[in-house]
Amino acid sequence: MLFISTVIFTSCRKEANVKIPETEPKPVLVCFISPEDSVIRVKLTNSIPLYTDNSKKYPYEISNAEITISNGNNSKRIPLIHDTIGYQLSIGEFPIQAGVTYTLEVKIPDGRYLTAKTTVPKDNFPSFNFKIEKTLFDSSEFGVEYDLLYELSWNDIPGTPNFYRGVIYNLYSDSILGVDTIATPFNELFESDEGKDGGNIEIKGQTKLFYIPGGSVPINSSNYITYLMLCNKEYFDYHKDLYTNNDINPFAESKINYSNIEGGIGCFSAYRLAKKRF
Amino acid sequence: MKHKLIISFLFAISCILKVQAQNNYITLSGIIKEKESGETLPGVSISCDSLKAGVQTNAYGFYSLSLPKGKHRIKISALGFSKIDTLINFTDGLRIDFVVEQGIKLKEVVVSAEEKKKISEESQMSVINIPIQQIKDIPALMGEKDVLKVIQLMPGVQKGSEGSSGIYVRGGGPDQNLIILDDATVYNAYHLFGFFSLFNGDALKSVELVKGGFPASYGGRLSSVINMQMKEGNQEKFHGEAGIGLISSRLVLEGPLLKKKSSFLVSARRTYIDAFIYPFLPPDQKGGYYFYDLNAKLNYTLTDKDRVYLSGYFGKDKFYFNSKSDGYAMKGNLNWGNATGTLRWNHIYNGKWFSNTSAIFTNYQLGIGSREEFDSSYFDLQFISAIRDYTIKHDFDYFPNNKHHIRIGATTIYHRFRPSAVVVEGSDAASNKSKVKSIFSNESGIYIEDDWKINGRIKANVGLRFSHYFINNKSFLKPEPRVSARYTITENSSIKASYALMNQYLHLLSSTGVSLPTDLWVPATANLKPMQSQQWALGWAQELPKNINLTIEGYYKKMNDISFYKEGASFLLIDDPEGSEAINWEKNITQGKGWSYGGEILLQKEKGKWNGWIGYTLSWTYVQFDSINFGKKFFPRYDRRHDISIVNIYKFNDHIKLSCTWVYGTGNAITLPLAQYNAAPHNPAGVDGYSEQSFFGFNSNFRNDYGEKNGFRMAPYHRLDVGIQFTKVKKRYTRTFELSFYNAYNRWNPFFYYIERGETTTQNKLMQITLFPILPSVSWSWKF
Repeated sequence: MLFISTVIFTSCRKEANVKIPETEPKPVLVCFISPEDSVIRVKLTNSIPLYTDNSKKYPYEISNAEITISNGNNSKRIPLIHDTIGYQLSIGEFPIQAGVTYTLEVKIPDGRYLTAKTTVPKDNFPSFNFKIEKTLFDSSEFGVEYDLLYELSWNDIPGTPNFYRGVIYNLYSDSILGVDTIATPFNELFESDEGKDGGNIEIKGQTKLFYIPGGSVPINSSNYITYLMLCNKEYFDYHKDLYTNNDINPFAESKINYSNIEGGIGCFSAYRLAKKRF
Repeated sequence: MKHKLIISFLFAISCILKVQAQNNYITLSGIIKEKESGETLPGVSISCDSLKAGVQTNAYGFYSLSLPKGKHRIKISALGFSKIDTLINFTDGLRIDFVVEQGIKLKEVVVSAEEKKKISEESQMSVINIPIQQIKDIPALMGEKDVLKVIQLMPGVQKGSEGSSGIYVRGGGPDQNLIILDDATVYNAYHLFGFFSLFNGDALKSVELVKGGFPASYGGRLSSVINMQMKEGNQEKFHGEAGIGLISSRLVLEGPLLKKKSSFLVSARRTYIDAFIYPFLPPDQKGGYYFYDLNAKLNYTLTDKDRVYLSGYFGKDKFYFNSKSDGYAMKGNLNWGNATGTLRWNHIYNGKWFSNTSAIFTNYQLGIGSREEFDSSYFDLQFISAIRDYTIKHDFDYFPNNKHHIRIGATTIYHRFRPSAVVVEGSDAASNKSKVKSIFSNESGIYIEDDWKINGRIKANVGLRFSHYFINNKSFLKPEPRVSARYTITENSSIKASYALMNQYLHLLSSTGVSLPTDLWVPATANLKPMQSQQWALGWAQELPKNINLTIEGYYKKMNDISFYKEGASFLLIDDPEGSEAINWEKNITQGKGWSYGGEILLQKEKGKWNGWIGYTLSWTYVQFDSINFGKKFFPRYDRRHDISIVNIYKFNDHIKLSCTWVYGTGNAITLPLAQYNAAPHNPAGVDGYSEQSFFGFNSNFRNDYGEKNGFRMAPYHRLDVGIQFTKVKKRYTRTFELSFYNAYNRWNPFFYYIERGETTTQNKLMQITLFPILPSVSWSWKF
């Protein structure tokens, strides 16, 4: 602290005298597809340049694009549902099937064109075991704190490189916010079968949960829900980047987020889903 | 394959050792010392002009010159020393130790170009010897003279960030420099997060920087060797030097223990920021920072053929704080330090064979500790990260005749790594002492090299090193050929070329762009490959009138399996030392390739009323890692297109000396945020309608869009430092007062950038933080 205080005391701050490259907004496309989902959702926005204001020419939401999904044989246009919601198509109208490669094409009237490809994993998520143990850590007038120990395990599907993402949510009702059921992710897991193809994958973790009296109250019977995704590499890389990336430290090397969108940024990827509620 | 390599190596040794002494030649050998202090002198020329024969003393002042029987006029000359010109009758078994006197003491001696070691004659290239006096003359940050900061002023060497002593040589990272003090490796050479180095010059005898064309005797790092020798200690009389500066004081004492037999040297430095601020802190909240260095050396002459040296370095940095209030007490500290010890034995077998045997200990340790007490309960946390080496080294110098100087040697290093060890104890929980996971490895090398005068125009240093590394039943054996040669064009000019293959079995993990004590040294393993580099260089060396040297060099370096932390992985443990336990460092490292090429010009004047140098570097460095920047090549942060340094030292008279340094460098390559975008993750609970936070299955998650990795250049860096020294000679001592200005024209160089957000994007500003505006400093020193 002494060193940091000294640095701050002696350091000087001013506007940088450097030429900043002029930046045009980039189209940002996000779409995750799965046979286990009921719809195909596409979110299409513009990036917001930090040093120039292009908001009149490029509004944040892009609501006039022509978005088409195809599987090599058939294609279907994904319509806009609402400016702020985005584009949506029921998989009843265009089924998402395991092992199939899909292409997304986006034409924006200002001439920008985006395209991306992804292949749905052909296997279902294998059956998995999930154990969670909650012990009281501390209780005071400010709230109750619990230690959570959890264990997840499953057998990897042999023969193919597999990528897994898991999200464990705590479900509770909140009397202050007036919401009956809120899912708060308390842990996010990333695993690949690199070096352990076909073997048992086991994840053990620990976290703490804090409840404010009169505020969030755990639902007694079903406190947790676990979602596990067997995903393709694009899905895995994109989410792992978001989870691990840190823009805050000015000394650290900045990390460019993963993108597989040609002509823009974002992610078009696929997953298979398994879930358990406790 | 391994057997074939070893057999060919042994064959090479036997061939070279067959180089016979010439018949009817008599060998003159001995040690050359400096008269005032009795210090042995490396690099002194001993020559016989009439026979056009000459040799130089080795690192310990030993020489061996073979001439036909009869009387010959021998000349001994070294830069800055009086010349000896004497007639010697070469009869059997001549051993003569010469004593030379500093030229500056003798009014009649004028150092001439002939007395100077000629760079155009050296077979080695990319080697720079830094005169210790120039280190003391060059103005420095806060008046703290710093060897590594002076090395940063040499072409081919870049600094990392403002004020930092970290060095980057020819596109290599800060982990690729072998920093040696009396044969002992120094793993973290920096104080105060890199603003100062461990080496202040008071206790040093010589500093040599090797950037390429590495002799086979060096190994273990890819990019440079910084070899520092401590002074031996004055054998003739007691002598001392003391200094007081703004942030530290220092003292050097040296003198004989037994006249002509044994001497000692002790050097110490300590900062006193903590002592100054202590009275101003509230009684219940105390804290501070200090660092200290302690160098010590003893030597003893056993016989005229045997001499032993014992030297050591101990240094430590420590931040600490204590606070107390209402039954609650908290104290903590962050500390790091090096300890090295070297025991050396020099032995002269005969006029042609000299050996040095060293036993070396090195330790670097980082510690973080904290203790919280509340009523009767407490919580303790201790974190330790360390690397320790035990080394045995044996080197021979063999002078079969005047055309060959052969060096043969072997080294073995036993490494013990402790990347992290956490001990947590508390009154409320069961004591939890984590297992200390030490990792052991063994690194060895054998080498042979020959400094060979092939004919009047061609001289080459040809060598071969075999490095061997063993860890967890995995071993690596790698040959490392080295060659460096010069071709004399005229009496004062030559062209030079070199090739060197280097292997490195240690990796330094850093999650920041700057050198911090929290960076971890880890070993190469079966999963983490050793790094390797190959460097080719071509150069021109020219002696100009008035003792001015000009060297122009071009180089190309390719690096394989260089390591980098994976994006997002963090080893910065200060905030979360407990969390470090969970880090598997092998999994968080990515390996890739690097390329660096460029040209360097150095115009240098080492001695005289005006001395100094002008250095210019034009270079390009790229790196490529499969797991970073999507596998695309990018410039590392320290890639610098242009780098200029101008160093001038002008001595008006015996009392006043003016020095100034101007540096210019292209700005660091950084990744600048250009825009923000909604990088929405897939939120499966939102899809199921569990959460109102998740909208439509996507969360809002704004991230920076950076454009190209390291595609933005910070503003160029430039700075002028000026210093003036006033020296007064008193009856018993000499006093020097120095006034200096760091960043004399108050250039606001950017240390880092950040965005200051306005209400609209047009009001966003890119702001810069400058660390050091103009900083005046004063210091006093006394020699007695």
